[in-house]
Amino acid sequence: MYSSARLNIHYQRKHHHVYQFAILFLLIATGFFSFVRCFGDSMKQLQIVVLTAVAYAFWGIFHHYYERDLNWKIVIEYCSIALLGIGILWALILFVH
Amino acid sequence: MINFFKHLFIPHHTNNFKAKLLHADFLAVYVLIFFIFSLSVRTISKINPNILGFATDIQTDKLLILTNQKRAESGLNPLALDNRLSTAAMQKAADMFANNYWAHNSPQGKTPWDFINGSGYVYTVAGENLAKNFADSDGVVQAWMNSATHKENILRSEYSDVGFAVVNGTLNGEETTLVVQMFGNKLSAPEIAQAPVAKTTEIIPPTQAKADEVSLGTQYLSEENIYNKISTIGSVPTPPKPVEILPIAGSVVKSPIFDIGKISKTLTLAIASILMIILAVDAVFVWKKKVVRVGGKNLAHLLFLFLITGFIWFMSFGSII
Repeated sequence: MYSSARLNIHYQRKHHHVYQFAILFLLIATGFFSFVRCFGDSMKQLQIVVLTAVAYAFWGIFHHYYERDLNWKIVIEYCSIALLGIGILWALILFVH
Repeated sequence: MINFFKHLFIPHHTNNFKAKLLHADFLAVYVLIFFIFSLSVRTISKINPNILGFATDIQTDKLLILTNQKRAESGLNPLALDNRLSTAAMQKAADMFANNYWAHNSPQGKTPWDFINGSGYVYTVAGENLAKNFADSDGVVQAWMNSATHKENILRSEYSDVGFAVVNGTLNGEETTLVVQMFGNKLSAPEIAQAPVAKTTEIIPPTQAKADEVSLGTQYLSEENIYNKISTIGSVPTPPKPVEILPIAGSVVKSPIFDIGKISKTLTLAIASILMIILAVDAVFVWKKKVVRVGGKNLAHLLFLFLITGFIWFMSFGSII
């Protein structure tokens, strides 16, 4: 049985969870539209990839910090996926420059 | 064998309840594989671009149609293809390859206007757009339209003529397809004839007639400079000295056996899609089996990888200045 105070905290966390995913969605949408707008300028596109990937890694770290389950494994996981994204796009764009 | 695939793809006690292909060390392996792939492709394409290279289909006719289409959408008059501007564009492209540069001005200080003047085109206003390494004409025009300054050049109402050159060559050791677009509004013969006497004639609107303004590929000539230029051409009203018209570089169409653009995009899309499928399977498995584990959020990873596939899809290999 949850006490009403605990339930309140639970609902608040759930709300914040939704807000945080909304922020992530916004970050990703902004990254995508900026990328499309920079069609033809591959260096700018690469900068947008790096910025979006860094923002995504920071979002992950903040999200887990807020959820109180942040540890090094999670930090490495988010950073690895961000680096994978940068690595793939960088390798592709390197063909041009 | 089944256990090995389970270990790779499905959360299992052997992989700490997370598909091995999603572990951080495997993610690093993907990046490494991709870098090795990129370097190999780059090296092979340098050795034999006919086997492994970028497929290209850029044609001046199409560039002219697309440029005029964009102007028509903005209610502007269509531009006429001018052979002298095309010659200037061709000479500019040849100069870029000869002196190995990718810029509006050459390392020797030669400006786009020098090429236009050299072609015998007497202008009141002129401009230049450059592009390299695009796969098709649509990509080139779309990229210019996405850039405010290049778009401004395409949609400038003062222009009446345009010239193109699409040339393939080697720039900085790389096989490159250059597209040069030169705009102009020519000074008519009567204006040239009247120029020395009618010094007060306003040829350029005063607000735009900044002396020799060069702003990213656009030049307005001040009245004084127009007259100076006219006087260097020869005695007015004699028409400008005829210059050698180079054959117009109409198009570059290349179809290598293997297209780098297609292969790279397919490979990266395949890697990203496989990862997304594994992440989705992992999320369903963890949710169904109620596995408690410390790890990142699969939904967040999926969203990010979805973005990466979008990036790959909308990536442009070409660049403009």
